[in-house]
Amino acid sequence: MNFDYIDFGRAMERVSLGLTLLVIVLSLIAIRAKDRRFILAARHGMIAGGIAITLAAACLVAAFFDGVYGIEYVFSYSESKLDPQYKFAGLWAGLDGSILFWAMILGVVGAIVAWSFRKRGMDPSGRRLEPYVYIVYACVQLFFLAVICIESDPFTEVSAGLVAMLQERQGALEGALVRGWLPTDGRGLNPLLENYWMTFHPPSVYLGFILYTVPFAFGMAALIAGEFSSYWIRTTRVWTLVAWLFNTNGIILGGLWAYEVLGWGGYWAWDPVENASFLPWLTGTAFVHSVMIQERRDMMRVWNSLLIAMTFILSIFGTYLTRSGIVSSVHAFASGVIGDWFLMFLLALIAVSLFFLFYRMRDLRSPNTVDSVFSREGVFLLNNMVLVAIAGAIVVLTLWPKISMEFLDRPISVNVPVYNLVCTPFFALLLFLTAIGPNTAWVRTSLSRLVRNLAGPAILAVPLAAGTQYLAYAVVRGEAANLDDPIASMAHFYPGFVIIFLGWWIVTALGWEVLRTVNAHDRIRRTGGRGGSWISSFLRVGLKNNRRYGGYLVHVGLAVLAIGVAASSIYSVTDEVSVAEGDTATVGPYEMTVTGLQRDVPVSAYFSTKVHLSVAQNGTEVATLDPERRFYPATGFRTEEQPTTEVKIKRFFLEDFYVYFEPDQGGKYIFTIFRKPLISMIWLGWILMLAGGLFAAVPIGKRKVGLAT
Amino acid sequence: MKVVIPFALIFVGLAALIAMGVTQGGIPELQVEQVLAGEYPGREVKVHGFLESIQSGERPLRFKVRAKESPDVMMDVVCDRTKPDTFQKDYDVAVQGYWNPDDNTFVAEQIFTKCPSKYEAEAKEGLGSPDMVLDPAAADETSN
Repeated sequence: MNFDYIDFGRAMERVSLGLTLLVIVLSLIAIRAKDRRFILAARHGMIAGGIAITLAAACLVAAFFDGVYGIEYVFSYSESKLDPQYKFAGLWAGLDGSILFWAMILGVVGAIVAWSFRKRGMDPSGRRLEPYVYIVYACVQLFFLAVICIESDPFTEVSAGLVAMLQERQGALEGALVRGWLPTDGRGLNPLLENYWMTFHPPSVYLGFILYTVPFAFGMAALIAGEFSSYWIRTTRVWTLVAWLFNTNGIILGGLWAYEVLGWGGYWAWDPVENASFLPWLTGTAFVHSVMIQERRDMMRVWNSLLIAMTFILSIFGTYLTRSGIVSSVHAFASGVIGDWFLMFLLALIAVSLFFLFYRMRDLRSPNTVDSVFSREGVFLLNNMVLVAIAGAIVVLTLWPKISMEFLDRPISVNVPVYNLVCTPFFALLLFLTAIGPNTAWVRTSLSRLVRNLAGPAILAVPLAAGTQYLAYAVVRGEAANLDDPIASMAHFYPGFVIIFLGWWIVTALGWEVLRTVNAHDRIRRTGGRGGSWISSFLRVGLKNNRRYGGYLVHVGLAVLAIGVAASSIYSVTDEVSVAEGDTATVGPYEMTVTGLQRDVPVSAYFSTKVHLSVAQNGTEVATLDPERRFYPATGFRTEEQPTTEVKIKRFFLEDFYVYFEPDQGGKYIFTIFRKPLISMIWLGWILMLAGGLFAAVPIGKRKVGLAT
Repeated sequence: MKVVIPFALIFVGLAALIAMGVTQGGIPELQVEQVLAGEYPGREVKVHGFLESIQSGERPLRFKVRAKESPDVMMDVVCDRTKPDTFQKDYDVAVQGYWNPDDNTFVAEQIFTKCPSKYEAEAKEGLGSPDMVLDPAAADETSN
C-alpha cells in the first residue's frame, strides 16, 4: 500500500492547528476557573501540537527522499540525482517549506517549554504565568499554522497548468492533456543553492528568529498577568542566549556563504534580507545586556519588556520584509499574498504589545534610578540606546525607497556608502562602550579608577593597532613606499585606525581585567595556604562566573571581528588580469600562471570548465588553484539553463587570495582577484563569539546573582 | 534628565547623519519609461525592469531591459562588468548608472539580479491555475 504523503502531511498540519486552538481555549478556561486541570490539559496540548507539526515536516522531508514529485513543492526544489543533504535542506529551500520549518521549530520549542513546567517545587510566579505563556505562544504558533493551512501549504499537488507545460516540453502531449500524468522527476534545486552553507545558514537564521518567541511569550505573559518579578527574565535567560547565538551564527554564516560563493569578494552589502537578520540581533544584544540591569538593580522593567517585544517584532518584520516585496533589492522576494498575512500579524503584535506596556506602565516603574553614568548600568543603558538607535536607522534606510515615495513622491534608494556613513560612528561608539563597560562597577565607579584601569590597555592598544594597520596597508597592500609620504598614506592609513584601535582596546582592557581578577584570586588562595597553580586559579575564576567570562569572550570575538571587517574592507585590493594558457601575470607580490585548461567536461548535471593556476611568490609556488565555471543545461524537468561561477580562495596567514574567471574571450581568460587583508579575523571573531556565548549559557557557574547596592 | 540628554544627542546625531546620507548618497529609482523620457539625464539612477535580451554576453555586456508596465518599451544598456550568473531572459533586473542621451544608451555601473531562492513567486505564476489540480490518487500512483 502506498503511503499518502499529501493526506498525512495535511492531516498533521490541521491536527496541530486544532490542538493549538485548544491550548488557547483551555488556558483561558484555566485562568478564569482557576482550575489546574485545564492547565495540565493545555500543557499536553502544547506537546501534542508540537509532535503533530513535527510529523508534518518529517512527512515533507520523507517526500523529498521518496521523490514524490506530485507535490509541487518537492517538484520545484528537488530531483532524483540531488545529493541527500540538499533533499533534507529542501524543507527550507522555498517559501512554503520554510514556513512549515518555522512552525515545526516553534512546535518543538513549545513542547520543551511546556515540558519544563512539569517540575515540582516551581517558583509560584512560574505556576501563575504558565497559562498566560501558553496563550501568547500558541497565538504565535496559530498564525504560522493558519498561513500553512490556508495560504502556503507545501503539500499542494502539482497544478494541471504545470503538468500541461511539462508534457508539452517533453513532447508527450499528443493532441490532448494526458490525465493522471505526473512528473517522474523534479525541476531540481537552483545550482547556486547547491552549496553546503545551504544546509547550515537558513536553519540558523530561522532558529535565531524563532527562539526569541520564548522570552517574548514569557515577557508578554508577565505583562498580561501583572507578574512584575524578574522571574521571566531568569527563566528565559538561556533561551535568549541560545536565540542570540543562532542569530549571530546565521548572520555570519550568511556572510561566509556570500563571500565564498557569490564572487563579488564581499560578505555584507546592507541588503534588506541581511538587514532583516541584523535588526533583531541589535535589539536582542541590547536585551541581553539590559536584563542584567533588572537582575542586579531591579530597574528597566518597562524597557526590558519593550526590548523583547521589539526583538520579536523585528524578527517578524524581517520575515515580512523578505516575503512581501515591499522593497526591491538583490534578495527581495516577489510580492505575494503571504506578505499581507505578515503585515497583519506585525500590526497586531505592535498593537497588543504597546497596549499591555501602557496598561502596566505604572506598576512596572522601579524606584531605583541610574546614579551615575560611570556605572555598569549607565554604560549598559548607553549601549542599549546606541544599539536601538542603529536598529532604528537601519529600519529607516531599508524602508527609505517607500518613505521617500510617500513624502517626496519619488523612490530613492540608499547604497552601502550611506549605511556606512550613518552606522560607522555608532559602531565606533559601541566598541568604545564595550571597552569601558566591563571595567565599571554597579551603582558607581570613580572616574580615577576607570582611568587607572583603562589607560594602560589603551596605551598598549596603540602599537597593536598601528602594527595591524602596517600589516594590512604596507605588507599586504604593498604600499610601504607611501609611508614615507605622510600625506599620501594618511588617506588610506587613518580611516581604519579608530575601529582597529578600539578593537584592540577591548582585547587589552578585558585581558587586563581578567589578569587582575585571577591574580587577586591567586593571592588569596596562597595567603590562605592553599596550593594550586595560577592556571588553576584562572580556571576556577572562569568556571565560577561563566556568565561574566563567557560574555567577555563574546566581547573579544566582537573586537576581533571588528578589526577584520575594518582591515579587510578598507585595505582590500582588486586586480583584473587577462591571461592565456601558459602565460604569467603579476598580482601584487604574486606571479600567477595559467598552467592548464579543462573545457566543458560533463560532470553529473553540469559541464565544467576549469582553469589551473599556479601562484608563486619570489619564485616559489605558494598555491595551486582551479577556479571553475559550470553550465547546467535545461534538460529533463529543469526548465532553465544556469551558469555558475565557482570562486577559489587561498587563505594565507595575512590575507585571502580570492580568484574567479570570466568566459574565454579570444583565447584569454579574464581573472578577477581580490586580496583581502586579515579577513580571517572575521571568522575567528565569529568562533570566539559562539564559544563565549555557549560558555555563558551553560548553567555551570555557582555564583548567585543578587541585587547590587 | 541623565538619560534624556545622551538619548537626545544620539537621536539628533543619527537624524543628522541619515539626512546627510540620503540627500548626498540617495539614488533615485526609476522605471524604464521615465529614463527614456529624459528624467535625470547624466545623473546616477537605479532603473528597474525585466531582462529582454542579451546582445553581447562578453564584456562590455550589452542587453535590453523591458519596462515593467509597458512590454513594448525597451532600453539599451551597456555595462563593463561580468555577466551575473542569474542573468536570464524575463528575470527581474535593476541597473544602476546613468542615461547617455547622445547614443540613447544606459551606461550601467552595477547590475542587480535576485538571489536564486527568491524567484518562487514569479515561477509559480507560470505554473497554471491552482484550481486545475489533478486527481490526487493519480498523483500518488504515478509518483510512488
